Amino acid sequence: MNHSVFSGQAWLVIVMLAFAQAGCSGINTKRMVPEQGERPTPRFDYSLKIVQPVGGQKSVFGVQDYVENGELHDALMNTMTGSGLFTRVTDKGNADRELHSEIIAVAPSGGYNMTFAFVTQYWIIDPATGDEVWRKGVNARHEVKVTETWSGSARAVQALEGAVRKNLQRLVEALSTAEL
Amino acid sequence: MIVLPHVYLMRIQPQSLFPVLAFYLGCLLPPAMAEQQYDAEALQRVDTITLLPVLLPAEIEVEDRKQFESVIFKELSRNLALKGYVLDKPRNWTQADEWTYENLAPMTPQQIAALAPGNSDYFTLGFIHSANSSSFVLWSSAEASIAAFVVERDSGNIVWQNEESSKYTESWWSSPLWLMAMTDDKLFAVGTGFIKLFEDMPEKEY
Repeated sequence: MNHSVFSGQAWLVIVMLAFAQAGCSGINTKRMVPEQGERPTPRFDYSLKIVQPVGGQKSVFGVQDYVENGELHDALMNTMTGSGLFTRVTDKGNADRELHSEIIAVAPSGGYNMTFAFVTQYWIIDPATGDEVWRKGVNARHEVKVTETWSGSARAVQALEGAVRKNLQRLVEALSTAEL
Repeated sequence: MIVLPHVYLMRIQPQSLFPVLAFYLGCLLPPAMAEQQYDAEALQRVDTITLLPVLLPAEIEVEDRKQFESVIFKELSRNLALKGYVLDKPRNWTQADEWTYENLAPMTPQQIAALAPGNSDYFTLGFIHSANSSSFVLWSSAEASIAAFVVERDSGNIVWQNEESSKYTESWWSSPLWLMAMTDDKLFAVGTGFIKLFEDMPEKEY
């Protein structure tokens, strides 16, 4: 007598759902934004303009292996707004300072446990003078274990989102002690 | 180190396949002639490493050169990023005419440091000393000799260096014929060597 919990058809459905889930996994910029406490009094008496990042690339269909400029831009906007460090954060018009960013490397590694390294350069320019007043390079890595997420594709997405989230967290930490 | 096989298999360019095969082949390859040297204390002081163009001898053909430069630059940045180092591109720096393999290979690190970007604290130097292949109907192989350095610009001191001699072989009984036709043996030899080059590099601690 066969006591198998799942019949052959049930396994087939499970496998198909796993593939469907893997195919639908996509990066979510909201999950790239680090959690931040209550917004403090602005540390800088400046408004900040988020300039469109550079160095991003489109991922290959079905596989999340890079970050696009627009995705980092959205995550930066939400992060800097949530940080409360500046009096106002915008991506249009003029501001007292401009935050520029470049994606230098997006590095995947792993099979069962997936790791992504996300390396960026950030720099702030005073538009009045054109001078670079601050620069910081950040490398953040994030690992997602196979025990956390079964689907390889979802694991890659989570590892990449986690690496970006940690990277942005370090940006905020660096700005929290910076002099502009 | 497994390199997201499905990521690379999605791409059509043959050179993108090498990290996948490199992993599997890496387990089979004989131990490479590795000579890793580093100053652990100095390496921990390294913050940002500027990635400079990889150097190849003039005898390497133009077609191979373009593929090597692209793949090696990607591998260089990927491996250093995964080891935790902050990376940057050269800024306000144009590659001087003397920035060639033939000119730089005999130079001391101090001499090379004088040509590096002025705003870089540390920079990479990657050399492909040679890449040769031989091919028969049902069998082919390639050998490559490569080296990489991380140099402190101010002092010209080498904080990390390693070199590898890697070999890649394939035959009809180990690879399907269509795969043999698609793969560039020299590129695989170089790529495999670069992956091994960084395997034992100490990670950056935070």
